[in-house]
Amino acid sequence: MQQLLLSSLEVDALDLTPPGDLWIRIGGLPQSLATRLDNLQRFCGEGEIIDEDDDLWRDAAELSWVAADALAVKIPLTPKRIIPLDAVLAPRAAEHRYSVGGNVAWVAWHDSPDSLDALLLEQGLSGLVISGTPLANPLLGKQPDAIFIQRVKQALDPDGRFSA
Amino acid sequence: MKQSIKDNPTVVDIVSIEEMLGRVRERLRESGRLHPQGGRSKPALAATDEADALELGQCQGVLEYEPSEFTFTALAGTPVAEVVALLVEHGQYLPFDPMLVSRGATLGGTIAANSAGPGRYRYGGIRDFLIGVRFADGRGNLVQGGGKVVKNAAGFDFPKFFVGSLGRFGVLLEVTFKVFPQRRLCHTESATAGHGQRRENNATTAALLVRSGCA
Repeated sequence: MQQLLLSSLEVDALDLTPPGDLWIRIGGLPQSLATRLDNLQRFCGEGEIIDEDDDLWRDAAELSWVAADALAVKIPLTPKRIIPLDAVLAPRAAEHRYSVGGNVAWVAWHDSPDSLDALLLEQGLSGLVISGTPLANPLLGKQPDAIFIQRVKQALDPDGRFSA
Repeated sequence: MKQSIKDNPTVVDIVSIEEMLGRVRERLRESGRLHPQGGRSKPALAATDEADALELGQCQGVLEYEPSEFTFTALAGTPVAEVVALLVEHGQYLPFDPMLVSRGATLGGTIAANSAGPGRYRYGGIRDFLIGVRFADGRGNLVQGGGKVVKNAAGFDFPKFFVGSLGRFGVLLEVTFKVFPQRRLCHTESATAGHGQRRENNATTAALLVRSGCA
């Protein structure tokens, strides 16, 4: 993934599913797509081409792989933090997927939000719970400095009529 | 040709922004704390006991769509699925790959949760395509940020600020996006069939799966 990120190859989507399956979407004009696909295959050394890939990426966008009884959590990330995060997620048997070139992790969490909150704090990461029961605070882990946000909130919502 | 809501057969339950603003002001008078809600595609972000739900899912409709300008304006409660279908008719799409569309995601909720999928990798996220917002602040004032054309330079960048805002700063009422044209149709065969054999099909993209050990 790192090599692909640094390459001149332009891809439309770049996801990674543990333990190490790389999903790469490429598109383009008819006269160039085949050549670009060949270049991509040569760069990666190998790979299985999936022609009808709309459903594959739609499932990713719909979080279809997240079980109904799990919390779907979005974790902003950078590629270099994938390995440390993976090291703590793998023992928990939490399904997860690294998306957008490793800049987002999606986790299907089967335990309490508090346990993931503690894990993310240890990693210095933040998370947003998307699915599951409504939470008073869906923000987990480390939160950014709120000074700027609070100043804007004071201007837009001085009476505190919206959620904090 | 500017397309009005009267020309759009997919729009139902059309509510004007003035009506939406009126509803927000009414709820602000009635309730202590409000939490905007749309299609409930993201249940964990729904209202809790700490705030009253402000239902906006029925406040939907595409207000302006200028295919030649590659922009559209819609009420924030408009389902993303309706917008996608409208854009497809004109060979356009939302490049930031909105998520949870089949679960009823709305434009406002998608913005508030910064809900962009894998396809945002190449062309950017919601921030790169949201060019205008109109929202109600905590005192019921109508505030506008950005505009309805691609080039806007004046004022605080409220559109970007509202991406990922989770309903904490105001109620999104109307949003304007820029869009991209769909790619021309093409198809690439499986590599096992050999090179040099191409045929026309409905695929515009292809995916490559590199198995463990190569990533």
